[in-house]
Amino acid sequence: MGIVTILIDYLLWHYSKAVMSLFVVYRNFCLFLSNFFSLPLLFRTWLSPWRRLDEGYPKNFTDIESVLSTLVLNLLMRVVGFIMRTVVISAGLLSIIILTALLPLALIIWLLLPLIIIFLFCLGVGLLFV
Amino acid sequence: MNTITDLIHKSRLYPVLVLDRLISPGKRQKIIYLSRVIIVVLGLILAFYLSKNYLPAFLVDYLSLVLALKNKILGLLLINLSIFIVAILLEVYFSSFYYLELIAKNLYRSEDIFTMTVGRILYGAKTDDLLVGFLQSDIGGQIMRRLGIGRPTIDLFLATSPSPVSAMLLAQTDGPVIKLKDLAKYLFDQSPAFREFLLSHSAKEIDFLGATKWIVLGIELSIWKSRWWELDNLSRVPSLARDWSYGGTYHLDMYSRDLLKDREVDSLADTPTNRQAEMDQLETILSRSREANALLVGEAGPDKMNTIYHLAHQIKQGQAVTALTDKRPVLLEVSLLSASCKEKNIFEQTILAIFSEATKAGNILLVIDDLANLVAIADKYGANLISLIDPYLASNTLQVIALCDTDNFHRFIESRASLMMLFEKIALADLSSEAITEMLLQAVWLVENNFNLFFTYQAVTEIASGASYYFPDSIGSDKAIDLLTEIAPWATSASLQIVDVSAVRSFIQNKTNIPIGEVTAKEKDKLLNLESILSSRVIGQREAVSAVASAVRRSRAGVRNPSKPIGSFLFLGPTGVGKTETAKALAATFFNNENELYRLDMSEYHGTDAVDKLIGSFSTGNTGVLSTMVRDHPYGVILLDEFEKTTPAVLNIFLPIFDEGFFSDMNGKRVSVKNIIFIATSNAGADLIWELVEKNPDQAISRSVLIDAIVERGIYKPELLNRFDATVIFRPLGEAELAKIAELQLKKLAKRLMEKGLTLEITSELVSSVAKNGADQIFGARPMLRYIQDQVEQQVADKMIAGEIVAGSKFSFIASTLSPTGLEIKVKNL
Repeated sequence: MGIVTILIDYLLWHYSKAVMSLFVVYRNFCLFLSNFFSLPLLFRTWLSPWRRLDEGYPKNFTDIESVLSTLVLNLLMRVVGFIMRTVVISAGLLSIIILTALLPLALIIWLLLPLIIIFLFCLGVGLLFV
Repeated sequence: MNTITDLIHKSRLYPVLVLDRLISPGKRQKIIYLSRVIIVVLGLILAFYLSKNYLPAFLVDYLSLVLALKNKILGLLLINLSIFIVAILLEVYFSSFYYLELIAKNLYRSEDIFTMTVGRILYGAKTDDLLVGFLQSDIGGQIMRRLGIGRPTIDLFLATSPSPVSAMLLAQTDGPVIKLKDLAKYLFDQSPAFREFLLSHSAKEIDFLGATKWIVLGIELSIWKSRWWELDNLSRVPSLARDWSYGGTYHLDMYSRDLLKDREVDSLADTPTNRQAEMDQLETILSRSREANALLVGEAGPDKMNTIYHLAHQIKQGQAVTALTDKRPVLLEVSLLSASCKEKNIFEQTILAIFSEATKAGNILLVIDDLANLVAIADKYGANLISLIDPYLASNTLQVIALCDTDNFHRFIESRASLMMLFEKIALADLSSEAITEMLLQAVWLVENNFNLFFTYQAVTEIASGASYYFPDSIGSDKAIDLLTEIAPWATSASLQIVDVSAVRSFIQNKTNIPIGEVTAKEKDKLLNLESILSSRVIGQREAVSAVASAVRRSRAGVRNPSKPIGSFLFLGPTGVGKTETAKALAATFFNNENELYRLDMSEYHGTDAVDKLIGSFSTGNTGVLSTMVRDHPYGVILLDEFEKTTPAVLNIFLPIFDEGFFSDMNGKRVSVKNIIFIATSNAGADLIWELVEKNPDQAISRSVLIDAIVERGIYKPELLNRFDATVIFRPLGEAELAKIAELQLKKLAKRLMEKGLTLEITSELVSSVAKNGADQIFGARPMLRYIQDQVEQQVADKMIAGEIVAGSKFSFIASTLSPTGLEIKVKNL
């Protein structure tokens, strides 16, 4: 079997299956980032109280002062929770956006990689013998 | 024709294999390593060059050479960079084909024909002989090495020119492509010479296929680990902010451990579990919308907790089922709770606080480490535990796993229907030797790395079977791992590099005292001459000695039934004829230690509580004498003295003991007696023996007549007698035998006196006097020791005190009418 056949077989892999795998790897990293920043959970509980720190309302709603103080406290916990989660959600979404922006770049590099290798090698040889 | 070449050419993997052969994995690794080193070195030099404006002047002077060669250095760097990228690309290229073997087991394309592993072997074959191709391949060599067969031995085998094996009939067995296990099975089936070669090196078909599976598993794991970009590998990184959405557990934290932060759980990173079935069951129960509570019941030991650790590890890695995602497994330590709560109301308040917090937190998977203990504490304080925890256990925000030992489950939990309704029980099944082997195979790699050892496949299976066979009271998997970790330092200290079956057996032999290793020349001599060795101690009982010696040889050769005790014998005969002495001689010969004889006087077990005394009582909680004896001394000889004097109920206990090699103690827990020799001695039918001997002194006693008489008298049932390996009849001793015994005992006395510097000359007069006066018809030779003590030793002692015998004296006994004993000491000289 000639080297040309092997090269063709490799290039077939490089431009077909490997490109598909690149998308799979992109999906893996998206899922990883989503899991690392706990995005589904934080979205689900975005407005929930911080660490479930809430108080039960008094049974007797005539005690307005107590009802109001509980309301304020619970609201405060929800605001704290919202702010903290928003920070992490933003960081997570930003990471995914950056990853998505890098995908075309990675794709271009991958598609050009055989040429880049040849270029680097030739340049290296050129510099060596200058 | 389906030759190897045909197979290769038909495959889609052909170009991949050609390239793989051209640049082998070893070469690729070397290229990656070297080019990386060169890139780093050249990169550093260039970094120096680029920062020349910021460096001190004297350093720049040294860089003059770099300045001159900067283009060449950059050129070299770029060449190496391109080589490095090519090597990495090739790794990814080959890895993707191996990856197909891993994840796409059912997604092979029809043109693939065989897996990459098989392809490598086929492509590497220089001829159309599959056997030679396999044995000369790297993977084939690895498999054979795991079977304890090295390259020189393989070369010697190949030099015998075994019949070639063609690839004509090679086909896949399951799945669309030919895998390594298909090739291995094909070679074993097709080549009788190869089969014999393997068998001659103690490798059976199951070992060959097992070793093949082991090697494939190693390749798969290594490929899997190297693909760090796969989702499973990425998921191992812990997540941020998980606990922000769940409540805190102040009270629970005081009495518990968070398993997600536990070191034990982290240490399981690369440890396989053999409890996957139980873990799947747990996940199913915990995935329910309500009453998702499981009760894990198993033998005392770490198996239950290890299962929980593995589950916690899965949750931590994000590999658990959806219902357990985000859950925080928390281990409630009942002993801590017990130590802190001294009153009923405190206990109740604490329980309520813990369960209320855990429910409110919303992500707690509560693990109660000892439910029976919790129930016992509640009972002690008179608290109603079930009504306290019932509302929480029924909620959909709390999942509970309770652990309980089998014994305690039967004693405290099983009978409480209301408690049982809250949980679904999962019983940890006994592990088969195969399941233990599978787990050990993965654990071995770590041990090999740590101790620089190499385990053969047969050694691993021997550890698995040895663990369950020789250490039956321990939990199988745990004992097997213990055995593995104990063997490793032992092998290192014994300067072993390869741990094979004989090394494992030697280790077990050292540990248990049971001879199981290879029969050494010295031992072989001993075994073949066992009758004469035993006869030197047991006088005049040729039949008994022969029966016992045969049983010992059977056991040592490994042909005994492994699910029965090593041996069970019934010694029938009058008192003082050598029954107990035979048992002692057996302990000394088989276990090399006379002290490994444990005696049970069965006449003590004749009341209504006899069975309870022997195996323990559930109602009183007392443990039994036999249960304790076997647990404390699992290897040895147990002498059941005066066996006929116990009750029929006790005799019935021995039916499964002799037949199946185990009995159940008071808690229903199995006690194994597979490493015990039972000897029951009995005077039953002694009168008949006397009668038969008196009638025909020179004839052998008819076994059938004696046994029929014993059965007829109702002493033993036929089913009990049939369960003994041998019923041995001891003949009454004649004058000649008594004289021999007397001589034997006197020699022992002479030896003791010699240690004090005294020489006792044993004369025929002395021997015949002791034999005549020391033995009697009813008690046989039993009173002889007493006679020697009273008549011989006493006279010696008297003379020593009187100063007539001193160190260096030589004396003998002569017949004397003056002495009341008929013997008189005669001191010969000084």
